[in-house]
Amino acid sequence: MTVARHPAELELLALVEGELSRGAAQVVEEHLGACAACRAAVEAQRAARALLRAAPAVPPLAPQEVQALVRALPAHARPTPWWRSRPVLVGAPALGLAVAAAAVVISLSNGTPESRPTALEAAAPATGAPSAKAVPPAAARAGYGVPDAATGPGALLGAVAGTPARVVALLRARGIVATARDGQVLVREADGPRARAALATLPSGPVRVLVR
Amino acid sequence: MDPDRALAKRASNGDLAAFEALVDLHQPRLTTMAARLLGSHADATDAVQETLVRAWLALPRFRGDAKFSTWLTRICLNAIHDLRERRGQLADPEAPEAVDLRDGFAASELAGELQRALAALDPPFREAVVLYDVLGCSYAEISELTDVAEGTVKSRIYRGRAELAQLLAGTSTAGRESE
Ligand SMILES: [Zn+2]
Repeated sequence: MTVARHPAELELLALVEGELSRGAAQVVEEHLGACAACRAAVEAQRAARALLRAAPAVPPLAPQEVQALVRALPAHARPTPWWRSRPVLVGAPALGLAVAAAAVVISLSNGTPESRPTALEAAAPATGAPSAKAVPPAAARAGYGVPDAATGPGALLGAVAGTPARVVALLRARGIVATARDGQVLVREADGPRARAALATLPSGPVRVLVR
Repeated sequence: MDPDRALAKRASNGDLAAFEALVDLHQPRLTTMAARLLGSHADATDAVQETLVRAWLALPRFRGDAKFSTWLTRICLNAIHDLRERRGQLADPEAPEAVDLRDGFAASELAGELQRALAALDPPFREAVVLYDVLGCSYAEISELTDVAEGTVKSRIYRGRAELAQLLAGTSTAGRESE
């Protein structure tokens, strides 16, 4: 290779990435020694590469946030989730609750794709609970954001750090109507999905946020 | 061999715990990718949440043709595209988020010089450098994720970096004209 013939961009990339054979690398290095333009191009590659690779990782979601998200998944691919059947169980003895929960766990682990109800089927027999709002899978996919499964009255949207007043202020800063009551924070049903998304960005803690 | 295969299979059969384990494993990378591509931690969280919902809904159709991590990353890239489309544009990197919720990270890092320069790149170039240099994906993975040939991937990485360096230097670099 002569000075007159600049290496191709991909050759310079390969040099920077250490992908050239020793012989090939030597030829390109020789060219760099004689060509300021290519030398500057390689320096730019190395500078940008180093900066990008040194960029710190972005803080991930906290494990509690992941757990809350997983619990809020729409009932598309699994049996009736426990929170949908909760209205039936209200007032049941603690033992009954535990047995029911165990039954759900068993049915979850044994469920096959074919036997699982769709979101509509899962929601329909949920004893007329006001929170049992059907989310057709197509609509869930079409709309952006977490579909409003489990965001009916009384639904837990998240539990975050701080004080109720501070959480109210944070939610209001995002245009979500929120009120503090009895140490908890209540939001309108219509704001449920947005509130859930906002809460997921907050550190987890003791302040529970519920749908009013 | 896909290390996530067993968990993915259980999750596709409705096993929530398996799905949660998969999410725990992969959401940190997805969050970093989304934040670097969108320039906002709040938007990144939205995109990751949307990814989890879409992945859960699509899991019964996951056949293991691709690695689970590639499949999930692809869903996340789609969610990011959709979010960007919905927003009409990238979050303005000059405008700090209303409430900085992550130890000043959003303000100090996502509003930093590197992020501003990234935001100025055309999306295909931004995607290429973020996937390659920030996430450490291989050329082959990026090719699969973005539906372009490996040669195009390499060219995008090269040009994305070149433009980034130019933006950060704040100068118009000398081209590589013949001498
Ligand atoms: Zn040259």
